[in-house]
Amino acid sequence: MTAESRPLLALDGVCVAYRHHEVVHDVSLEVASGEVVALIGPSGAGKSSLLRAINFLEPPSKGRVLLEGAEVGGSRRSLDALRRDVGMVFQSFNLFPHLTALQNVMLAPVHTLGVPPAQARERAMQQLTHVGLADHAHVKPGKCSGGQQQRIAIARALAMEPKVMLFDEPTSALDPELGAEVLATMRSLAAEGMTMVVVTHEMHFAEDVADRVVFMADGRIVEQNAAGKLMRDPQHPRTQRFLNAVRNR
Amino acid sequence: MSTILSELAAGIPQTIGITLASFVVAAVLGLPLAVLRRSELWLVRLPAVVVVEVLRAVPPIVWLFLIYYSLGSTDQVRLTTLQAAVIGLGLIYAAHLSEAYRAGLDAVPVGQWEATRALALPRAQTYARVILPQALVVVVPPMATFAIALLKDSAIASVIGATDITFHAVQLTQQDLNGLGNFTVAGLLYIALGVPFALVARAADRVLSRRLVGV
Amino acid sequence: MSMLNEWQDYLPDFLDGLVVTLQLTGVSLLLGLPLGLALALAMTARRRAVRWPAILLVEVGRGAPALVVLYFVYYGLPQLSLTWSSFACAAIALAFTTSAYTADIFRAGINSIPVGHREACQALGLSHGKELRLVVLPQAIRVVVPPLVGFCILLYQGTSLAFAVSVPELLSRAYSQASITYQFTATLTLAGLVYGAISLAAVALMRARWPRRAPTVAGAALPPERPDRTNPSWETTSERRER
Repeated sequence: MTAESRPLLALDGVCVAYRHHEVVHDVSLEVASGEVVALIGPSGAGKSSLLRAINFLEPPSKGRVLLEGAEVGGSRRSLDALRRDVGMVFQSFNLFPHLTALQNVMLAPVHTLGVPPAQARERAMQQLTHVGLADHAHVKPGKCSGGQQQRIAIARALAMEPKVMLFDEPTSALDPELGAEVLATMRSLAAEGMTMVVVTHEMHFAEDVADRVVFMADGRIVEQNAAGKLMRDPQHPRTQRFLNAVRNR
Repeated sequence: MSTILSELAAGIPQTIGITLASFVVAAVLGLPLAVLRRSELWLVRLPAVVVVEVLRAVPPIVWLFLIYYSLGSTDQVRLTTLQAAVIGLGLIYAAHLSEAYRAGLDAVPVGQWEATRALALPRAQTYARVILPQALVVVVPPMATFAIALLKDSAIASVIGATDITFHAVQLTQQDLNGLGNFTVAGLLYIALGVPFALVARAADRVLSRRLVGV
Repeated sequence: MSMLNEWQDYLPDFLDGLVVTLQLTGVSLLLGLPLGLALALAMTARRRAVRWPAILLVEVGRGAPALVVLYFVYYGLPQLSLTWSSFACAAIALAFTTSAYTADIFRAGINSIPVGHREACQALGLSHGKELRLVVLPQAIRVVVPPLVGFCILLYQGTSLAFAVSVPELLSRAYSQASITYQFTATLTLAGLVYGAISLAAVALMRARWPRRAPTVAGAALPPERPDRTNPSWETTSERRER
């Protein structure tokens, strides 16, 4: 690996535990700038826990998280710095229901980054336009479809101008039709060169959009490879079993 | 009936005064109690739990007596009946309201807290812009119920001599011996005074829920 | 230490007072609970002439301060040429308050029965009485017991109001001791401890028994939670009637 391709994000021996019950064991992973990594695997494999460990929503019980080579510490200031650079999109959107779409997108730039409101508003409108929802700027999330809500959530994360975007099963709570519009938004984001880590059950998305696919089971990385290779020619029997089960559904 | 009403009306200012002042005390003191009770550190949580439980375990009239005759009758401290009533009822209802606040904070989904953390939103902004507006919707109806309960409990202040509606009703009855008439009017007066609280609560509930659901 | 010594002197008298407090609680419940259930059934009755008086009584009983109800009975009965003891007056007044509060609890219990169960009873041709006795009440009991226990604790504390009409209960004993010895702090603190210890013990037992939906003491005074409106099969009888 050359100096220029130093990983943007690196996990080093990360473990995640809930009340002494470890669900992620010693995972190391590197994500290069502009790379799209899909995390796949059966439920309970620890994919979401690993993703949430990256921005310390679940602080790792062991191991290190490095952003641009700098280790993230446990202090509030260090975490805030990390979270400014790492956008997160949740399975259940987690939009603020009492704020309009525009207010949702503006909130963090104004209050976390200190962007002047007028400028934040302008940028928020750009982000909403970006996800195709400029006309929903003054609507509250409750009046939007699930797909629209998730796209607003993507705009909200993008408004922080993050270096990495994390997606935690962004389409699992959606009907296939609505999921498709979210996937289309993510696809164009990937095409623009955004660095993304995506936990997903959408195998087509993993195969078509991701550069690399990581297969996890029982809290460990079982196998990882370039997307096309892993999906078409899995090496490990556990991966083969999983992909067969998913495809034969 | 109207003569009774005009006699008892002299007590309305005290009844309303005690109720409103105690409610303000309770609303303010209840918030730190609720936040402390939600702490993850038991050393912080325990004192708040003890305060809330003890305040609620002893009858209000006993608290008022303790505050008026014991704490408020020393050489250093002299409390008026009004002050003793407001302190006592304010503290008791701070305990009640803290439980309502806690329920409101608990009602905000975990995902909302996670989203604010993922966006690195400062703690003050998290409460002010995201959590409290949502918790308020859950808290307003029980707050109104407690306000009405407080209005009724304020009658206890007459026992330590606050000149409220009940006090005037007792005095009038000792003169004219018309207990049935006087206390019927007194009871209706309390019920009538509770109506604005209920109306305010309903209006607030409607406005807040609408703000939550959408345009 | 001096306070402990004083407490030793007060204790026998205070325990007599506690007995009166508990008797007052018991008698009020004995009279108030059946009346509360009757009011609840009347409030859910089909005929308006039955429903409205019951609703009126409950609203008045919950809307007026218990102390005012107590004075109403205490000063009002002599006007009807009835000379009853202050204990009897306090028991009647607290029983009325009890019935009003528990009527709301019972009604919430009855209304918590899914409307489908009542429809099933009607489809099976059960009489109204049997429907209540065999299907509605057995289910309602389970919903109703925790808030009822919560109310009992509230009532136990509420008996201290009887001080105002000179029933020789716990608080009255404390106050009269204090007016002899001027030891307000010692007497009132002991009274508070006795009230508090029993209330806290009861609350603790309640929480141990119903850890999930343990009703708070104040919870008994709050309106019942709104039913889940998103599930139509759980639509309650009263909502069905509204339509």
